[in-house]
Amino acid sequence: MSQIKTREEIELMKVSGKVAAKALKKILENIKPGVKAIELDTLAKEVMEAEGATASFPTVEDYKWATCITFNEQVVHGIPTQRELKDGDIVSIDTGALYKGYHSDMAITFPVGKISQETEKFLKVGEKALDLAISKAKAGNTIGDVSQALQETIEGAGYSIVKNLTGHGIGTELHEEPMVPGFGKAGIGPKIKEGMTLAIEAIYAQKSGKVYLEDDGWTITTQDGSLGGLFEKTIVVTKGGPIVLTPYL
Amino acid sequence: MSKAGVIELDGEVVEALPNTMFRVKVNKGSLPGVEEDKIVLCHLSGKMRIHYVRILPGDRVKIEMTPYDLTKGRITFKQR
Repeated sequence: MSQIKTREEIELMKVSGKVAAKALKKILENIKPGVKAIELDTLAKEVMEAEGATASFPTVEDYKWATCITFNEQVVHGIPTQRELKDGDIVSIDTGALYKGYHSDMAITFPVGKISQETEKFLKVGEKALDLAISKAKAGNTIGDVSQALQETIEGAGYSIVKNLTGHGIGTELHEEPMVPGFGKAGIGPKIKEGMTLAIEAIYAQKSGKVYLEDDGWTITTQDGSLGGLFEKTIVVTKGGPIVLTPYL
Repeated sequence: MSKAGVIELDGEVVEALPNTMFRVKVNKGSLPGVEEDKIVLCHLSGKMRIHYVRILPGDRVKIEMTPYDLTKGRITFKQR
């Protein structure tokens, strides 16, 4: 699992990314009050299998689902259950595909029905942070440049980074080196090189970034009950800059 | 799916060094990509120095680390 991918490997990851993007699109089309989280998970699985791929997350030990679905104050790794989506909720959908041995990973936090203006701003900031961070993932920069972009955007808007969780390298395994934290200073950390594939994530909370693990052993939730946000895309670093492999369709 | 980063983990003090530095053993699995027990060089947090918390080999402690340097840490809490 070299951190630098060959052209052939990147081609496979592109397909994998596209499959994940399609699965996420299918889920987003079906988000409405009354739908159960587990139903959305089944949709993702169906899309991936129809495309000749499988879900990536079951490669994580003891995790059986194609998606992680979290509500409101939950931040990441929520197990899709029978819980129903309600008007005014925000849900984070995190999913990834596995195609011919190559993983992709992406996430979005999405409103159900009508949400307050404050919550809308909260979601916009996360997406903006991710876009800015991705633009810093250029050969010659370091992971610190990406991290600083995330931290400055999130904290500049008055929110907090959840520091216990990080983005990561991705390829033949879902989690590879290097770690891509949401905090740091430009210029520090490993150098970003052409051919690297990274899953960059903005993981943040409305108030304090302190989190705890729920009793189900997976779901990570904010301690103060404030909203959690998650935006993630898989990218490849090319000569011409970063290319997103898992676009929001 | 995000990765559990390294911020806080549990360890056991194995050696006290000069200048309130310690070698702390962390169990395999708690550091990503590390398959065996690892020794981390740690200093004491300021609060623990102010309150003269004595740390001895054998103590279970909580340490804080940054994902940018997996060889060093700071001891923030002594478990009883």
